[in-house]
Amino acid sequence: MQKVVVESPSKFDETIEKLVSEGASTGSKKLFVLITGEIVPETGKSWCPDCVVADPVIHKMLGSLENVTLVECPVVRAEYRGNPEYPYRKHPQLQLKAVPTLYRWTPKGNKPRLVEGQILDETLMTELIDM
Amino acid sequence: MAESAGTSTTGSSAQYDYDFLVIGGGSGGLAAAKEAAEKFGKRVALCDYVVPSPANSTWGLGGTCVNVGCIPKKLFHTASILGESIDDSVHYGWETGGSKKHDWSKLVEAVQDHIGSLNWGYRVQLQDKRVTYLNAFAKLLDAHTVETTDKKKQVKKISAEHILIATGGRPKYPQIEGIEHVITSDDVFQRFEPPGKTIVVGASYVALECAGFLSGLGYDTTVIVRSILLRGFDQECSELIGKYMKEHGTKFIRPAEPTKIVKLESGRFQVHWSGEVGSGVEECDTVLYAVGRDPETKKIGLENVPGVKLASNGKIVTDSHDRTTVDNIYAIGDVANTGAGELTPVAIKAGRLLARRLYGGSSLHMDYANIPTTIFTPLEYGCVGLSEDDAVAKYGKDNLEVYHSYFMPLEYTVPHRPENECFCKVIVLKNENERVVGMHFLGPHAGEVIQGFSTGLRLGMTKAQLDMTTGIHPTVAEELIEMRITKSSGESPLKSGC
Repeated sequence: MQKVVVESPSKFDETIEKLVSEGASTGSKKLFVLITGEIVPETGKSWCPDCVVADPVIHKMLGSLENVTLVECPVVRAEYRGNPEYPYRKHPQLQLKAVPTLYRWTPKGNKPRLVEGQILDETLMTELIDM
Repeated sequence: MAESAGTSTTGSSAQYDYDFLVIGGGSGGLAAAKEAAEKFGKRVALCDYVVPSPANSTWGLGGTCVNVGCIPKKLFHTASILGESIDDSVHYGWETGGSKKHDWSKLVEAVQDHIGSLNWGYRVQLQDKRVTYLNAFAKLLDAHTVETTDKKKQVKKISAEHILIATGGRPKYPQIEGIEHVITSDDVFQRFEPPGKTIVVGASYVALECAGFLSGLGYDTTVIVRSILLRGFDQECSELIGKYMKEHGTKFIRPAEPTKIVKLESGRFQVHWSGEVGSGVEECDTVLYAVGRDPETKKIGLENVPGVKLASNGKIVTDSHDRTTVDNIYAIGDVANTGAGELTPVAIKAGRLLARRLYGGSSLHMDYANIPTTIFTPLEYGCVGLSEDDAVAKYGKDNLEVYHSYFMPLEYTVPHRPENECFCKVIVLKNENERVVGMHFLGPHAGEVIQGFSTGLRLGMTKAQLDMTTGIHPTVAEELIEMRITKSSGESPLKSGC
């Protein structure tokens, strides 16, 4: 698995466009986008408890796969919480509702996703990966 | 975890793999499975499998409505009438540059995209609600056992205390020469190549809705009709729909039937037809058949459960509680012989109520009467209650008063649309204080209009009560309130001016 980190929401579209133009989501290649709470210095972990649990699951299921790119988008808590204008919430293809959300970035408009506890479901994760 | 009130869960159902097995992941099946698992904590499995159409179309979880019915139909219809809005907009001051072009493949992509999100949404939802989902074809081996076969041909056996058959239906393919060349509603919404000149065979709402949006999107469309339009629906309204479609460019060959279909070297097709109106040959790019639907009861193993009775139409015989003639087997939706329309909300409600009866101690069952519906032909048709034909048959002409009116929506005045295209009709029972037994509305937003009125009809409202509602102005819905002109008066129902 190849990992790419999007440092801030303003860099999201250009990162995705570049990967897509390089063929990261076509043929046998699979592109995933993970919106997750950023690591905070106080704990050394994500500020989002669900993200702490989901992170190892995602890496376990995607980590050893070839032809997989994971675009990780850390979210700053203060920018996100209670902010309806947060860029990932308003982005037409993300329409972020909760953190963490894992998207399968298919070439089509619709991006299938798993949210929070759904990421821990091995059956759903397998189907998201296999599609 | 809620334990059901009436049935013994640990006793009888523990010997089975599941408490509730649902065969069919459409409107009815999904609703029943979700209700049983989420509200009552039952062990539920749902099998859904789409056998590819003869033209090789297939689709995901969600059934007919989501994939090849209501959803894509309404979106294609919307695309089509937006074209009319573009024309109207010019009169309202919009400068559009004069030309209007439609990209068929863009529409297909957008609609299939949305359907894909629904397929995935239902898949995740089933898992969230703890329904075991099997993407496999289920065949009954006996009253409690089913054999499932998945795409990789792996076979499994599962057992359940209660089994729900909600396998729906698929389009009919009559046995005529060249039938292998036709497509149906199973295919039309997912082909990226534009359909070109199309011949639609049939006079069902599927046929007319498809012919309607094909014409509206700019395709040369001809409908071959065997006899009447929209069998089972009010015939006066049905003929008005046909008239509207004709005036807006859809051609009709009627009454006639295709006798054979020939594929030409060019890849086009020749449809040979004949009937009372004559005979002829039409050349086209696409032949779309919509001559009715067959219930999916032939390959699901009913021969292994001989107690399950089928009606002469092939549908499963059920009682008012959706029970088949075998104790633990139930059927809802299009596959069941309820006499109600083949409608998504009917199947959903039946599914939920069934789960509540089985596991929640409820005794409520579906009321299959007076269910409102809408046909999304270019001139939309919303109705609830009896057609005039059925009302006359049931009550006799002398016991009925029929109020009727042609009207013109305010929004149609500025673009100078024809005056008397829209129509509505209210049928009342004279000897029951003019109780309303049927309402019919032909015009824009027909579904939105009829929805609210259907509550009144179901509550037994009289004409006087309907009139006391007081209209909202300016709307088209208000046309149904304070209707004055009756058929018996002989006064003209046509509107002159606005």
